Amino acid sequence: MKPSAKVSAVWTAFFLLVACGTVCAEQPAADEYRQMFRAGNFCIEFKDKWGERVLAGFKGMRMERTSYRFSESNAAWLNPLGKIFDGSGPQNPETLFKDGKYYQFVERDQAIMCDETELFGENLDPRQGWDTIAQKLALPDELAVFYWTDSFRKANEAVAAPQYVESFKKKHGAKEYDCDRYMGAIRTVAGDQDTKIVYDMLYDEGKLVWGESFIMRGETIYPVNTLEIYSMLGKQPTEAFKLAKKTKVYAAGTGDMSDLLEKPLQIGTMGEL
Amino acid sequence: MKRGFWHTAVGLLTVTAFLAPLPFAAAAKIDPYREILRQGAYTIRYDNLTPAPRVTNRDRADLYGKSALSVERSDYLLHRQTKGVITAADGDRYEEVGDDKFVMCRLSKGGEDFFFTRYKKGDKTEYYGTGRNRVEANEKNYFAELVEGKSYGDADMSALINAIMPDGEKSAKLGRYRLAAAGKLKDGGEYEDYRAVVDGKDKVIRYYFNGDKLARIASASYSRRGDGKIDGRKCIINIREFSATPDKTLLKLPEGLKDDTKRKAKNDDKNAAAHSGKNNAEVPR
Repeated sequence: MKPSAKVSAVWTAFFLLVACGTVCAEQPAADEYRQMFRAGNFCIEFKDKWGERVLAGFKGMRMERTSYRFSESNAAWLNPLGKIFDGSGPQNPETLFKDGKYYQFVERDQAIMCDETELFGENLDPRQGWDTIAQKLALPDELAVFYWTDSFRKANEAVAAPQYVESFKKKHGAKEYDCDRYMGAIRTVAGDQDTKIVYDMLYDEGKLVWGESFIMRGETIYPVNTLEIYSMLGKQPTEAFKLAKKTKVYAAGTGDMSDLLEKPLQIGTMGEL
Repeated sequence: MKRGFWHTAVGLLTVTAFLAPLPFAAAAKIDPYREILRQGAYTIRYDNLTPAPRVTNRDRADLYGKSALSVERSDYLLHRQTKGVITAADGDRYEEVGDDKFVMCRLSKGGEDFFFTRYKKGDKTEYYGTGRNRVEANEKNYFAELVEGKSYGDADMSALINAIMPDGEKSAKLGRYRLAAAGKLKDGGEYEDYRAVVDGKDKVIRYYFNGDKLARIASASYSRRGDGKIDGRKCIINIREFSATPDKTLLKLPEGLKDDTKRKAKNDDKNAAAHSGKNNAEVPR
């Protein structure tokens, strides 16, 4: 090969690498999401197959609500007078973790509370759903690709943390998006890693809008979930943690006499705790 | 729980611990049953003689959900012995667990799960799915099935059946069972013991055979908690049928139960194939 041909071959290789770098690399926002979740200060509004939800974290706190509009109550929106009589107070979350305590807001002005150290207590009423409360506050799987070690997630030893694999264009409905693909192996007892859980994160102009997950087993694809992201970075998480201070807080039922008499023990109000 | 039982269980574990952990023996009596399950066409009818324990917060649900029918969450079935039926053919499955009055059912058909219950009211049978005598399909939770193992009725039976599946066909969460002992009993029956340590719990399962026929399964699992207390569970299953003949009458919604599912029109978009649960020749992009 002539020296000039060698030089041009090197340049061609260089340009190809640069071009590939711009097409194949992970979206820049992915790192922002990673930092945001690691710092624990975020507010996400999203919809998955179970419905619309708000999930927020702020200074070690976590909250979750299934109705995602949290600015004002529906009563206030429907009735302007409601603003005066009803809708002026903050709308409580449905699930909250604050200062080492989990809260479930069961009524508009009532919550039940369980300390995190007692969450595994055998005497807790299983119907109160304390066994799944941490999951409700955990990042959904599709977003957990950015922060797999989220403390509210219960790790499953069979599922390996997904790793970034490639980027490409992918259609969702009629529209085409920039897609980052992450994959994690689901290990068998024998150690095989042929079955994968795949997370496709779809971006529109650099913003995450869809998360799709499916299982890939050989040539067979099994759907898992589709997450629609309404907003990720836009909202201040502090707004999600405004609590109605008059909310009565009751201790989680442990099968004692107050449970039997169906008279839960009030331990204070949200403002006092 | 009776002390005698634990003495027997601990004794059994100690004896098996000293035996070299053999892989599934080349000609174990359980082999034909594993093969029946792998072929995907079968009927299993069983009695779970050990009522489900009350679920506590130590049995925390996994992120991906449960695959077995949640008998322990039914107030009615909680302290009762139950009967179960599992039948499968052509990728469809039907499972039920309950007693003569109340049965929890799941029909998995074409990538959809129908959950419903069946009640006996005098001479009448009533179903309850999303409403009285009607049901809507749910998307099948493939992830739970993959990670937790396939469901075979209640959680006990599911664990005992998944234990005999090959290591390469079940999630790492389910444990590496090895043949620990086999022998003959005084009554002429034979047994095979399999053992594994799963999540720090010692688990032993004894499969009883009458000739070549799987007749009973007994299992014990235990671990010591931080406070020194033993945490365990025993279970006895009576197998009424375990055959390669599917009961196809069960693989459809029963008469009197209406399918109320509002299904979306089929999308021709190629991308939607990724969400169809069907075979795809290539990875969807």
